[in-house]
Amino acid sequence: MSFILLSLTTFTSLFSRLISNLTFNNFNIIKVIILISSGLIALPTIMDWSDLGVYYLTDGFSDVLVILTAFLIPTSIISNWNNIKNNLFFELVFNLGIILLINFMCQDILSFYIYFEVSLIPLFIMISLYGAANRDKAADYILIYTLFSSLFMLMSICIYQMLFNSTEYQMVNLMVLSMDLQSIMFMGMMMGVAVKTPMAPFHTWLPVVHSESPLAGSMLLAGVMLKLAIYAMMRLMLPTLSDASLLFTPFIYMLSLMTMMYTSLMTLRQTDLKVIIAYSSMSHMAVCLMGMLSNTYMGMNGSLMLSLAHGLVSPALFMMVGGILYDRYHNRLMYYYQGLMTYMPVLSVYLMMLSFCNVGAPLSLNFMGELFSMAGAINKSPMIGSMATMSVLLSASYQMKMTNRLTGGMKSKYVKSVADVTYRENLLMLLLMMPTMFFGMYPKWMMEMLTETNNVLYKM
Amino acid sequence: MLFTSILIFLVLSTYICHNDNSFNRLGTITVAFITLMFISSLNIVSISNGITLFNNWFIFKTINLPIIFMMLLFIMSWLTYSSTNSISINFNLLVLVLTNLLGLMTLPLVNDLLMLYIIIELQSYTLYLMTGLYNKSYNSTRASMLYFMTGGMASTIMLMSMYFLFNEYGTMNLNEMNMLQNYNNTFNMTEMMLMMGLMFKMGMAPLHRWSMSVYNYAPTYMTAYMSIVAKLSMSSLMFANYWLFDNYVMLLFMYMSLLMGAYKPLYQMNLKTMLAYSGMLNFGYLLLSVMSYDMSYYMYMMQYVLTHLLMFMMLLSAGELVTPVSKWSPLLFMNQLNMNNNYLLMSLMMCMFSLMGMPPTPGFFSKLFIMESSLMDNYMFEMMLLMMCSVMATYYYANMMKMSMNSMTNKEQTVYMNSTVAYMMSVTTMLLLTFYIYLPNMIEGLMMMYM
Repeated sequence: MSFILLSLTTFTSLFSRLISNLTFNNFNIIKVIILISSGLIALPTIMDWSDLGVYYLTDGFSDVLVILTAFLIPTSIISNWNNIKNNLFFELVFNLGIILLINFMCQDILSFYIYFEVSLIPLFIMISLYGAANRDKAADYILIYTLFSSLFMLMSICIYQMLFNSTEYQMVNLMVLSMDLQSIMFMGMMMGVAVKTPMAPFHTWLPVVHSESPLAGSMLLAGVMLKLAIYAMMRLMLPTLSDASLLFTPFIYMLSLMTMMYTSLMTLRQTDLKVIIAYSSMSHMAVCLMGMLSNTYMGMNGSLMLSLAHGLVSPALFMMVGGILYDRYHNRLMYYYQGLMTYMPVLSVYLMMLSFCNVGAPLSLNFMGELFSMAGAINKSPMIGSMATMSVLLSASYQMKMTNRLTGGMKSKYVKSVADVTYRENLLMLLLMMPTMFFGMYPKWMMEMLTETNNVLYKM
Repeated sequence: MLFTSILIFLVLSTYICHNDNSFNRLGTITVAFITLMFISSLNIVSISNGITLFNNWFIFKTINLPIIFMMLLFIMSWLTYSSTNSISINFNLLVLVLTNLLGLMTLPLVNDLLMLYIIIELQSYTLYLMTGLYNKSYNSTRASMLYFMTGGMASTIMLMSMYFLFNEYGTMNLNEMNMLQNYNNTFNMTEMMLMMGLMFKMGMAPLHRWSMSVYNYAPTYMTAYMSIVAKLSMSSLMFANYWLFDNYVMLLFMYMSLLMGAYKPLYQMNLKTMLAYSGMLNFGYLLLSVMSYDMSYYMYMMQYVLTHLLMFMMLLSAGELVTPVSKWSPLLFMNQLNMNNNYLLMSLMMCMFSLMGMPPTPGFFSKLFIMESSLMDNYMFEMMLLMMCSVMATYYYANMMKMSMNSMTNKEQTVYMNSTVAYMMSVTTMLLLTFYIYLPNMIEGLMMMYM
């Protein structure tokens, strides 16, 4: 746990409260200060430092996710700019963001676990304070599911600690463990990862939590927290438990395939808009996992690209259904809306474009990610890989169903017509859509960044 | 120093008749002096095997010093609290506390069975009296009576086992007994009986039902006292003389306490009973660290004392913020946590997270150390059970937190608390929150102690 983290958050909270007291309880000042500091928080990631015996540094792999996180923190703060009037909420989002940011930087397995767990605290408080109607259940789900599964992860970490007396990545990566020990530790680690990703039998927490949590929480959850599982797979499991991960690949491929098929089919019959987006992120994370375990550079790169793409597109979709539409109608039911094209044209355009991004249409980063992940997966296992490509079709079907339902048809006379997208919402949409389109059309930068990483990590 | 001050206060109490807080404040200063003397006499520690005192009755070893230090600190802060509120003004309280402190401090140092009995009775009798001190409260007398009955029973069991032990070994001295035990390595029932007596007194499952009632009936700040220090000193005795006790029987107690402590409070609405069960759960974890005889014991103790101190202080001081159930236990039910002081509730929530074992609170680190040491000793199943039970317990902690969160989005009101209590609570909160920062230094120190 970083001392710097504690001091930064404490300073920001105290400073913002002090200023707001000085300006006669002007709440807007607190929001602005927290927004500015959430942007500034990306500055320390440029440096490398060590703190209480743990090194914090980045390489290309974590750079991608650090950039994503640093980008999403201010975005999620802006997303709740008008509808929540309490400084505690913004402090919680800010803290959650910092924790996630540093999670990708620490170079120690135990620290990784600590940040992984500690991010539950602000999330739990946020959901049970500002969540929707079913928030009690959602808060329990996120806490107990994740805590229980990651205790198995902690058990594996304890074995590292017991064997090597250290859990630093560099130190642990130098060791080769026996096959049976690796298998047991892989299973322990996999419990944590499978729940966080989430894989099919352990996924029931995700739709509830995503749909009930406030918008900023959903955005950070879908955008960053699900990627923690992919990151854990890459950092904690592939380098040290490499034999076991080869051994378990068929099993995980099967699970991923089940997840893709099952969640895509489940999505087809959901009525809650936020639940649909949540389910769709599940099937995309399963694609990521397949790419990560494909044992090829291409698959791993694709997996990371898809992580980044999904981290941009999924928050944008959440923003659309949970923010723009929800703020206006206070309703998340899909069948409530129709004919948005007639009176909210700008929103409809955004929705169409993001939907196409989400299904992985060409010229979006999602396409590149899915292409490489699937190519890696087919390389590893032609049968399962080619079956997994079905997921593109399935995701297209539910996404198109949703988009059609919302944008098509006539405006219902029972629904009030409201103003189209505001400047703030426009800004958010563009912020999230531009990078997706840009990297989709010109993925070379991304590829270069990732390729250098692979050299650092695996060819040294 | 302690003994002298007991005598002085005893004599003083016959002269002064008016009741006010100054007496308790004097007591706090006395305990502070005792702590100071304790710290300054720590250099005896350099004698590696310990030093025996009073004709081999006591042995002063490094093993128990952190626990004694923790007890002194706890009693100091407890007395500081009781000097700020009105119901604790009772003239006999201080004399009883100091006498009890004498028992508490010497119990872990015991090296002789006879002394063990005497000290444990000294400690227990004062506790019975303290529980019944506020005899205007019907529940308090009830608790005291129940405590006395069950405690007496446990003492009888212990006395009987001591007779059998003497019959078998022909000595009362624990050191010699240890040596003899090393030569004939047989399992005998008598040591089990001694342990059962101790477990009975600590209120571990399956012998726990009395403690739940006693903790519930007694006035809240008496509950704070006895649920922490009595268990602390007895478990520390067990830690110091771990060779005397059979691990398999201890395992039985551990399984039962874990399951009961995790399962029973799920149906409770009474906050004090829930805390009592959670204390039992925590002592279940502690038994694991006693069995593996590891530094994790100190770690866990530290988090237990800090968390419970803060939690009880919160429960007591929140009495002014809610409609009290009774004068003696103002905050009794879970729905009363819905109160109007966000900072208080935040620190309560931090305690809960610590009890759950969420990083970066001390609860996580102590649980990590326990897991590690139990892995080292191959207590695999026990560790799994610990994980299961802590997740089950998470559910009721989360429930308590959600109760307390209901009021958090309200407009903040400025509520004035007693500044001393507020200061103590904020210091404890800071200690809990920054635990991970001073943790590495503490591990080094404890390793030295333990070697």
